[in-house]
Amino acid sequence: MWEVGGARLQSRLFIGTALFPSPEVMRRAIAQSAAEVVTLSLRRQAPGKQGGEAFWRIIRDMGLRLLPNTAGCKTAKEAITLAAMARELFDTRWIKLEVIGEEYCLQPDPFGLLEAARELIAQDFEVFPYCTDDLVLCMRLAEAGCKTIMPWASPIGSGQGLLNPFNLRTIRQRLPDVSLIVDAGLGKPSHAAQAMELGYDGVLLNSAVALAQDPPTMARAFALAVEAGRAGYEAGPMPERDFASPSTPTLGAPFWHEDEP
Amino acid sequence: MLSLTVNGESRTAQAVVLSEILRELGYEGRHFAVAVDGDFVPRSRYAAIQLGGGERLEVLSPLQGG
Repeated sequence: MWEVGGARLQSRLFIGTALFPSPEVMRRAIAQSAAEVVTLSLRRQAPGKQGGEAFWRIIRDMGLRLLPNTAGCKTAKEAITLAAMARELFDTRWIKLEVIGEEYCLQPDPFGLLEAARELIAQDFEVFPYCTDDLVLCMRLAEAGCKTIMPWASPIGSGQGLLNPFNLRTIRQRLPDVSLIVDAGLGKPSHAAQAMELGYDGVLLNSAVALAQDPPTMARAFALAVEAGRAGYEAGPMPERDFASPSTPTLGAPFWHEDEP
Repeated sequence: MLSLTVNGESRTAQAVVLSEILRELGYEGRHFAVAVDGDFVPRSRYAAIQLGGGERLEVLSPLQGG
């Protein structure tokens, strides 16, 4: 068990609900992931269309904890308004705060993000900011009151994995009391294990599962990878060495080269 | 008759009170949240808000997201 945002959870995997080939595949994938937290969004919808309501019913029936996002917002003001709408609609203080500053990489705007985080914390939100892997930004978000911070591994939906493990490791080392979740850019289960081995508290992903050829099986693979990576971190990996060190004892080795000078 | 922009589209409404406008536009139930001119409007205030025309309404519903 671990605690995040006032909730006690078994799973360290958060999963998104977008891009699945069908609602049924999404439901099966979420079940296989064993995730207890799902992300979702608010979008414009014509009153006659029931698609959003049907999706909402599936998610609600699964009884999971909801983490609505502010995806698509480009200013702090937009994100603050959308967060307030999400709080009413989903009846949760949790918000995955996204303020996008650049379209090509969907890179978060650190300035708008910090501004929105401060205001939303003042409004009693539990803010989960999606941010770049910049140490100083993460420090400022923590100082603003964010108890959980979610730096990216690489751009959303790119599947490139951890592009800068050094930055992520440094953030972990410098912010030991903050819950850290790697969010965005993971493509393979090994990426999730790598993030967890760095000491991250969890991972959040969507495309890696939804765009897999077999999403439920990939969801299961990520669940195992997260568990393995965390166990590896807790077990304390051996230090790296530049040179080989024999694992088999040399004492009593046969064919010992006694004749060598 | 009020002219409004609802979710980016031009619409008209006979009603002037937000709760009645939403009903007239077909939004019923509880699976949506509303902002007027970029500001969130709590559900509890729908019946107290009068629009004068020209406002931008966002009526948002739950949808898939990452």
